[in-house]
Amino acid sequence: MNDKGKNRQDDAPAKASEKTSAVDASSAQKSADDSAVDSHNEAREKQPANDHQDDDAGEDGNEVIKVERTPTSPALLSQLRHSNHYHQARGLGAGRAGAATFRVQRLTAMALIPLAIWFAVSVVRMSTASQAAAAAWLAWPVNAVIMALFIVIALRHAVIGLQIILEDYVHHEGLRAVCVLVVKAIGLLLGVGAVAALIHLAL
Amino acid sequence: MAELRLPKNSRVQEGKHWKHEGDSDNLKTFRIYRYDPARDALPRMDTYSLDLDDCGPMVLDAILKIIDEIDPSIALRRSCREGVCGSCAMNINGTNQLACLCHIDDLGEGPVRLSPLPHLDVIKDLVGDLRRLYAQYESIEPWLKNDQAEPERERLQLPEDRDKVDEDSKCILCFCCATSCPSYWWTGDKFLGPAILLQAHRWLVDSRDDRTGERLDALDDTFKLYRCHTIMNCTSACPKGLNPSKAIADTKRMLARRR
Amino acid sequence: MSRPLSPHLTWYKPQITSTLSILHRFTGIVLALGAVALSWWVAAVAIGGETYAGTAWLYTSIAGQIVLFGWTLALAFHLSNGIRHLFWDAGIGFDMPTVNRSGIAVLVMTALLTLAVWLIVLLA
Repeated sequence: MNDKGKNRQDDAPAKASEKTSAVDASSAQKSADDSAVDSHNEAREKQPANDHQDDDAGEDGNEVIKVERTPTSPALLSQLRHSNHYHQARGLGAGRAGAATFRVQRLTAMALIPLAIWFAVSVVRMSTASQAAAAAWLAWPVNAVIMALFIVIALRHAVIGLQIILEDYVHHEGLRAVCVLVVKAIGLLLGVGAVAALIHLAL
Repeated sequence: MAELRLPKNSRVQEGKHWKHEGDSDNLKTFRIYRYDPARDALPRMDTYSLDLDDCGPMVLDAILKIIDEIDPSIALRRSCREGVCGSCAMNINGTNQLACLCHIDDLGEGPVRLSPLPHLDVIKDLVGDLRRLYAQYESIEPWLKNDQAEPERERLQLPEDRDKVDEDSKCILCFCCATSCPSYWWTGDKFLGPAILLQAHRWLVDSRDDRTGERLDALDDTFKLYRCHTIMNCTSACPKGLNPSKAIADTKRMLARRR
Repeated sequence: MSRPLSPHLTWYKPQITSTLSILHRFTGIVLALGAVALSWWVAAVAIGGETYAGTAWLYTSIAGQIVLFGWTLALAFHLSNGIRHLFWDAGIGFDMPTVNRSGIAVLVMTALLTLAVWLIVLLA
């Protein structure tokens, strides 16, 4: 019977916030000693305790007064946790870089469709060629230009893609920043190197 | 790093087997995720058998019958039992569905496995903690913002403009979609997820709302919006047949159009 | 006390949608590594001599050719699925039956493209 009563409480259709607090009330009682209180909550919790201290001091004069920490009511805790979640959901606001990155990634993707088809057909064939043949092939201006475009655009596309993957899986902000920088540096290095090699061959 | 495995305190153990009493040739096995914070250190799977000849057709009917006749200690959310309230969303045989709209017969042979919506803190048994999702919903300010003088009666809207919000506003916030999205599993602390972004879109396309630009500003973020990689698990999970992926793609296009 | 996390990745039924999506990501990483190999090849051609000989030996070895084959396969998939993604970004093909059909189309196109490339290479 007891459990059924609880179920009913859990199920009560209610507005978002009411619903969560209803669910939480049933479990919060059991976990009143829940020590995993966020620091944010603790700071807020201390306030009612201090108020008590002031009142007591007024009545009893000089005596040292020990005030026990008043347990925060489950309902209030639940409310505070919700405001924490809300604060976290808003975060630091929008970074305003999403749309720009998205745009570059799609534009490079579109450019890569014809370039990749050209590349797949011609370069896999060249991988078995002699150095002289490969050098002559790359020295022809049309090939050199298309190859340069392909490498630079593909690297740009790859760096953004890898950055997105790192952002998905590496949650430590510092580590993520370092990884992204390393990826960008490698991309830049490869691009500059390949273009320099192509210019060297063409001249 | 994103934790692809379940943490140690979340690994599911084998639980209790409740034997069926009496004869029946239409027995169905239900394996239900159980966790009671007051008693259990680890979650477990309890196994129950039901005579389907003596049970309603939906998964929710079966769970309620188990609670009534076998084990009253199972906790779940449920209310309307007809796919309107979105309370009984859970993971059924590996996909997120509403228990009240899921026919037991459609699940095929073998046991039926019930667990809470994926990648949520478990409050008890099939009840997952949805507070973050509600907070994220609040963060997109899901209410009408209109700068014009208040009309004497309701704000009127052309029928074709009403049609634009029609689909999005059918969302019942069951969060089947958000909790099916791998991107939301790994970055849900920052990514708003399909359910909330569908709602954000609902206000972006509302002809009566005057803050479209501001709303787009607030979404132009690598994490809040662009963690959506059009994986499409959300659309395939939605029990109302809505299309969060499409709404998100439309939002991304709106952002691209302003440049 | 921390609450358990409900089961996710390993309990969620594999979807054709998310499987192709993770393949897109995986092939993307393979292609990024390929871009390194390509840049190196171009540089090796420019440097010539021993460097090119070593690179050519590596690329034409059996292991090199297998990697190259895997790479064209990855390229074909990433290209086909990338086109599918561009359609989505344009707002086309979002209903589930179309999503499933375009998924199968991507797999077919991947096989055909890979075959076509290697036929051209082997015949030429």
